[in-house]
Amino acid sequence: MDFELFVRSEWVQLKRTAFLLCGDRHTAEDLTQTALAKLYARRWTLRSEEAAGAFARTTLVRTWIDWQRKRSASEVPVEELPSVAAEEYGVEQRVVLQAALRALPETQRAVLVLRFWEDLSVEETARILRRRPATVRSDTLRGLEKLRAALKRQEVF
Amino acid sequence: MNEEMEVRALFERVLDGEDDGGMPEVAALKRQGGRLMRRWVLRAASVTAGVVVAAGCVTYGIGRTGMHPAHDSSSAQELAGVASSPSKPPTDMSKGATEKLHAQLLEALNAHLPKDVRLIEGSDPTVFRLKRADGSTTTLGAVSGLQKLGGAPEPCPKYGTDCQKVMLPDGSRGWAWKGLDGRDVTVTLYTLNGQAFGLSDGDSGSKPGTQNERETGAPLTVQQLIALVSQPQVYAALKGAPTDEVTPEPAGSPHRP
Repeated sequence: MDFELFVRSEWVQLKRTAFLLCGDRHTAEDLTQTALAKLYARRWTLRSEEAAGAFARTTLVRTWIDWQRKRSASEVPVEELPSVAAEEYGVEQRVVLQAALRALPETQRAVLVLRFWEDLSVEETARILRRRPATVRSDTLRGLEKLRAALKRQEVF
Repeated sequence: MNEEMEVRALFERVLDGEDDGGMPEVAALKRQGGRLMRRWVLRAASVTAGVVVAAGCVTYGIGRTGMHPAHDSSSAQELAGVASSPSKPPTDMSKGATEKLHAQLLEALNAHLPKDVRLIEGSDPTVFRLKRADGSTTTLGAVSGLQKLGGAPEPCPKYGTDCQKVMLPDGSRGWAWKGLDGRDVTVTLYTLNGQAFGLSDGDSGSKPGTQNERETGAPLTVQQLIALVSQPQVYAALKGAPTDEVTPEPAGSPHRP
């Protein structure tokens, strides 16, 4: 596995996943760098690009959850989404969408990102999050419901 | 549009216009990864343990049951009746401090390494390469980590083989061992103040001149690494290696000899 090539080919996708998880550009960059550094430290145990990709995604999500737990006191869940006038759609719409994502509990957010952004199966998502597949299924449903309810009010979804 | 496509479209809208930014500095990622690797080596050997006892003269390489350290008056004077809490390990990672440390390590290691290996620069101020006559190399790096007054339990058999207790004249105590796959050898020690330090040698780096080929050298033996770390000049320099993992307030209190 060529680490430099791997970084060049996966950086953007990993950073986007990180951004969807944390909703902040700088944290997303830190998270991606941390995941890649951990991958570098374990590179001799990863036999293929595919294995490296799976390791990077797993590490990225687990590191983020770990950070969330450590920083749980500093993050305030968004209950009320910013209101957006119909004519202000555009940049503001992204703010509403981001806020709706951030309002989800961390595991539900991670489940939605892994399943619908990374296209992972329920079983793969369960392995990464160290949860049972049944829990992932219910988290998917609950996460979608919350997301729908939050965005329905803004007529986004 | 089905549910899956709807959510994906939503994610794409969240990311729409988000600047992907430039590529990260790969060398910095490698340095960070190297540091993580050495911390894992340390963590593998440091879970919990009893309180560090007063140390004596250099008595490395003795069995678990045969260790009866002599009393060391100099280390006792440092602590007895003076400090009520241990001092913090070094944390200064400024360029000036790391350059000074690098020079100290370079001089100390060069002076005491076995004759058949040559020290060359590595990827980090505290990381070097050892080159053998046949051209093969290994990576030799200073160990640092969380301050821990309890010291470290024996890493064998879970994390390594050939475990040997190591004690230094300054009271520092720890273990030397070979990794389970035999590809690395490590000495980790804790001072009486709970500062972690040590050396690890193994084929964890890339072969010189290549990006993706693993080093092929055999690490120093456990005895060679113990002999190296036990040199006062070497362990004094190793204790200067800063850590970015400092506990706010170390639990417990230092041992009073």
